[in-house]
Amino acid sequence: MRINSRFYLASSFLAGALLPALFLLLILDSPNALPGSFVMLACGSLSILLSRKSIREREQGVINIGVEILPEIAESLKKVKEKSETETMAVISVLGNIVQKSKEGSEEADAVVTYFIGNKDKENSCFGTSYLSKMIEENECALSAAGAIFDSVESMNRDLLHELAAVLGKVDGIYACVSEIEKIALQTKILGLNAAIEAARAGVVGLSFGVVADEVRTLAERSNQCAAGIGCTAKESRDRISALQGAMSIRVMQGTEEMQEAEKNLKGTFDRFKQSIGNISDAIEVLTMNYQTISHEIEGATVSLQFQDMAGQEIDHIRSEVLAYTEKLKNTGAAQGKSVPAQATDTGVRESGEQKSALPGAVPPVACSSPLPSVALDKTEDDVEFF
Amino acid sequence: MITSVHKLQNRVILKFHEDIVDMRSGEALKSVLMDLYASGEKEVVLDFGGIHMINSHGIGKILMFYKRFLEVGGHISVAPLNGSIKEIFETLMLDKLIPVMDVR
Repeated sequence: MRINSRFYLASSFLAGALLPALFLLLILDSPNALPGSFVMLACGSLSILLSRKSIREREQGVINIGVEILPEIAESLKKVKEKSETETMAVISVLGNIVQKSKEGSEEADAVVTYFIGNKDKENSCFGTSYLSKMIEENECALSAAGAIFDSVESMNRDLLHELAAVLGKVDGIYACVSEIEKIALQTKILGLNAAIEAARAGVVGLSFGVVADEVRTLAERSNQCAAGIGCTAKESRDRISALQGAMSIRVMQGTEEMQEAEKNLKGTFDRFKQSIGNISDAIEVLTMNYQTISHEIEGATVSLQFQDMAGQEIDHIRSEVLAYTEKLKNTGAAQGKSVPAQATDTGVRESGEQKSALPGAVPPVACSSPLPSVALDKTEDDVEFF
Repeated sequence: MITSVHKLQNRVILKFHEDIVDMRSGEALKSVLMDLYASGEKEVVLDFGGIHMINSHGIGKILMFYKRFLEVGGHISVAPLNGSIKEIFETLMLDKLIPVMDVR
């Protein structure tokens, strides 16, 4: 920079004063040219000095502005970093709570599902046989009991039909007996008639015997009438029992078919119920897995948020650069014999340099990609190009 | 306070004073059980003598911690049940899972 500055001064002096003075010496004689050349050299030198002074003052103005603004930028960066860290911590805390509740909810759901529905992968669960399995077992027992009752009712119906058939047989027996009694009554009647004829042939001696023969005929007639009455009743009973047997036979057949159908429907419904429960169990398992996936994703997001610390470190780095830059400006201003603003301090550099991350699981510092020029603190003013 | 805790030898008796029927009471129960679990207690007896109703908000938590305590070698039991709580436990067959412990 100093070489450039000197070259610039020499060039300005050469172009603005020396060359015109030489030109005067060339075109005029020496007595006339010397004073003119001297005046031109003096004016040129004065012009260069004034120009240089103006440039220095402008430079100093820029430096002063930089020294005033850059600490404010550094302070703003510090606040941005603090705010960012605070908000990130709050978000991480909220996400942590969500993850915790999600895990507990998932655990509770898993316990409830395992107890009530069961889990294929947890046959040796601490809950033992699931509530649903116990219920299914109980219902299957009830269904078996109902089936046994159906069988029993069917058997009873068959027994009843069998008994009716037996009763019908007995009625037929009575009917046969009545027929026999009727035959006997007829024969007795014939016998009484023969006895009456024989009594009439015996004359007066046979009169009393004729009375007995009449009584025998009367009794035979009454027996015949009773037998006819029993026969009618037996026939009526037989007809009624036959009708009842036929009706019962049809009803038993229908009842048996209905019971078999009902048992089949119950079993079908029960199988579908078990299948539905299996589907529900699968659906709950999928839901639980989704729940766990969401939980993992939130955990991932929390970890990602912790990388926000890298941004904080980046801000720290930029702030350090800004403060170092400010320090350089101050030094430049001091070297030029000008005063610098009082607020330009170097405390921020130390603060940011020693500042540690407040975030949990902070990552190591990363390479800075700051757009500001990298300034080493041990460099001298001449090694730095400001303008 | 929906529950109170007192210790009887190695057992912790958790007595309920409010029905567990909503999210607030369910979360409060979870918090108490979580504290007992975290403090390393192994035997917890749930005493439902002071309440008349518990629904899924409470049952889920009890099952969750029943499993947790069992996994660390502890266990949860219940004080003798009466009335509607007994009916609920019988309906849900929890009486076959959680043993009864007479601590009165």
